[in-house]
Amino acid sequence: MNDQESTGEAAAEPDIPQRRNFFAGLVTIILGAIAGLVPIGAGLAVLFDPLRRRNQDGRNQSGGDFVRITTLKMVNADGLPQRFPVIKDRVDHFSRFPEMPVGMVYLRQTGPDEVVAFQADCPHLGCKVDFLPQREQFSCPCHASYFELDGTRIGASPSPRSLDTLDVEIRTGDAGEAEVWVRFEEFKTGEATKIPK
Amino acid sequence: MMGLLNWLDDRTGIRGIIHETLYERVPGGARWRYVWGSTLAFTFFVQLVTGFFLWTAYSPSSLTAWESVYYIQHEMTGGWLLRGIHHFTAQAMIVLMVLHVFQVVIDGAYKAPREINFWLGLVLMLIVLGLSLTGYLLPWDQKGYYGTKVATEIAQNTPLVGSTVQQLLVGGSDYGHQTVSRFFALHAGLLPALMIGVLGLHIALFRRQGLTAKDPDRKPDVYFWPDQLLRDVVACLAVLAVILFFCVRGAWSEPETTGVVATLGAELGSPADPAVDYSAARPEWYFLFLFQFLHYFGKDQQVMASIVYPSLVIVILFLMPIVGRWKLGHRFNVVFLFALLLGVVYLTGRAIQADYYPPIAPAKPSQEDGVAMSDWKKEYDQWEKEYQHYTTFQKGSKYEKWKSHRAVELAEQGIPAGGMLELLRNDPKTQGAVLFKTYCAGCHTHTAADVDLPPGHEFTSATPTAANLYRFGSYEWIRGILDPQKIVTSDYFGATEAHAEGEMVGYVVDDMEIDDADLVNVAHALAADADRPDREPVGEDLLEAGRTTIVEEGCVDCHQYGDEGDLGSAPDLTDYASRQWLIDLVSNPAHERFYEYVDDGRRMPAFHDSPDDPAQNILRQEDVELIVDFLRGDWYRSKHGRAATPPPAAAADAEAAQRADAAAAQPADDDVEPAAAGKPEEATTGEADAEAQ
Repeated sequence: MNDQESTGEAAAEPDIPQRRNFFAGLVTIILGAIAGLVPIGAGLAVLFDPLRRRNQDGRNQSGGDFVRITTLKMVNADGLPQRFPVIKDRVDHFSRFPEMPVGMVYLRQTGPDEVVAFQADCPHLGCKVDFLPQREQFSCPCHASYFELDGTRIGASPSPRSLDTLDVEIRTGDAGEAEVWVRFEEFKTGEATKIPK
Repeated sequence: MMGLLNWLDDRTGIRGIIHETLYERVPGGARWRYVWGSTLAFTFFVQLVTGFFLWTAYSPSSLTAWESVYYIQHEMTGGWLLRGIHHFTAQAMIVLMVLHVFQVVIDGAYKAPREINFWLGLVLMLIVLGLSLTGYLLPWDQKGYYGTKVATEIAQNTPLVGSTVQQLLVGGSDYGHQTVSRFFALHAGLLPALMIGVLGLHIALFRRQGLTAKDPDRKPDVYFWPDQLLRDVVACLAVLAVILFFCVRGAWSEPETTGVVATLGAELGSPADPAVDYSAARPEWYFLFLFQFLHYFGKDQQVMASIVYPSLVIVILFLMPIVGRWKLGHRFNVVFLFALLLGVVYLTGRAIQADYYPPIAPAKPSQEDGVAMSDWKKEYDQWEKEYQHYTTFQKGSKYEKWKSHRAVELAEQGIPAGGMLELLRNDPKTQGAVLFKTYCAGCHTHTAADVDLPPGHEFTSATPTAANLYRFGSYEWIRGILDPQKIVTSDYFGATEAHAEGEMVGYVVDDMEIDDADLVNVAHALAADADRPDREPVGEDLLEAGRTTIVEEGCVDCHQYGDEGDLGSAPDLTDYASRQWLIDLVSNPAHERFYEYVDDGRRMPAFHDSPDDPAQNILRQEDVELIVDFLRGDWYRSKHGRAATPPPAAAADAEAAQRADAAAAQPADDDVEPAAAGKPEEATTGEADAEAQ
């Protein structure tokens, strides 16, 4: 497009009725929009797939079944929390991993047949909390949230809530040994209350 | 030639374009202060080029991302250089961008008619930050994984749309394949495309409006070519030199703190593992100030601190051209920018100080002064609260460093289809140590200067209730249990409920009538059956003598040993401490071959006694084997020395050599023939040498 050409066109502007001009413009816009939106729409459908999937399939959905963590005997009797891996089948989109460590819990014995379980993820932003035996506190290595032995958040911690407790069942195995089962759940971070992910 | 050019020019107007590009007027003469924009364009060009070539080798999925980056970094020719340039240029871009913004604001180059171009520049800045954020995750190592996890969790806290945005970014509620592929699509597709478009507009507008001369009458005007372009090219080369310096910097670092090859170019951590915590999670250094900023806000202020305040700063930046219309407004802009920089530098400094250089703890006052004492307590608590992190961070990053070296070492064998994590989870040296810590270290210790263990996995227990299993089944360990002075210590039976006053202790302390030379042979014979990988062979005649002693000097009165003796009153000595023996023991110590005779409450738990019903076992078969191989030191050892030296290795070697000396000295003290005594020394120092190569 050089200057000469465009001035030439302008000089010989065709005489077309206004209304027809408007109509042609409208059709052009509509057809153009359809042509453009089809590929974009197909792309967006795929892009938004995770949102639709969230509620539909619960393959990795937390909650649901209890998972066997360990035997009661393995949990410290002195009431100090101890960390255990949670072994569960895991699906990552098209890959399936049988019996993979999917997370961590802290188990703490509070009575002869009583165990409390904490999700090891910090409720602030999801880093894994550490237990400091010398202080008898949990601490998050990311933004310095602290929690008491019973999971209560301490003072100025940025965490919006105390450590998340998980449902625990003490079951008796076939061999008669007491076992600790936990309903492993993940919760939304940064919320004042526990909202399952 | 001229004809061809004319032909081309007729059809494209190329002469005009070139002329316009090169003969831009520079009022007041060429100056160094105008180079920042060009260096930024240059770094972006470098990123496009290196990014494209990285793309040819990168494979975005959670099973292949780390693996392909490992391959680029450690196997491909020049891979470390390519990755290094891309990594450090990204950081250079951030620094140059800050310089560019300062120059533009100080010179008032954002004022009319250049407002729109200033905004385009800010959009470019946001795109660059987006590129940094998305690129950080792509190697799929612990650092990128946890750093980005925090970033997306922050995104999730955005009111209203947060949760949806996070789901879309992450590709579901869990991190996985699609997190990598989505971040990659942003990093290599959408963001660079946007960047090219906006940068094109930015430069076009800049050309249309001309350069904002600081001082137009300083010197006569010149053209962009060649005076200013020369300065620009020199500046670009200087930037490149700095980048290259950072790429090869590792070559001069001390070998005991860093493996040589591993630190050339960019760092690659250990593969991302959602089930393993990473207590050294930090964002890239230029985001550290945001990280530190969060520390100063309580639970109700988190959204403000992580989203609202940073957005406000960006809004103020966007408003600058409008505010700058007034003379005072321009001053405000400049002051604001410097204040912002000061704040960022301060916060970054605090973050680095807390992680690397914590102040020394306040000294405890002398006992008499009660007031001073309570003051100190307060002060100390404050100090501890603020710097407790230091230990956790140091521990975490030390372990991570160790593990990333171990991963590279293991990857030499070739990575299985299940990915690097599979290899790492099946490595006794890595995973065995973790399992030992969780399941065994409650009672057993596993210490004695073995600094080559993963940091944080030296298991010193203040109150052990079972034996120290460090080098269990070695000549030294077995010789120790046959020593009246040693068997009563907590390293052996001293701390156990079942054996402290048991028959074995009684026998060794009071009744044993075997002379020292024979005991040495016995220990050698048993260690030969145990057959640890680090065992140094001993003459067959010594072994034979040892075996004879076991049978003839009363051991078989209680123990079974091959065809001699019976089970039931003491553990089976047949193939004592061998791999299978240990697996059987850990699986079910209540078996008659082991401690059936010990009361239930005082025996160690059976970890895998129901092979037919997997759900009943504390540990899986594989886990038992990992623990056993860990105890036996039976793990993959690097064939090349390359990148294999874990950070604490130099210390470990020194310690190992010392231990070797001690071990060698000990049988010599016991008056054994020199031949046998000399062997262990060679053995351990030999191993130390091998590790150090």
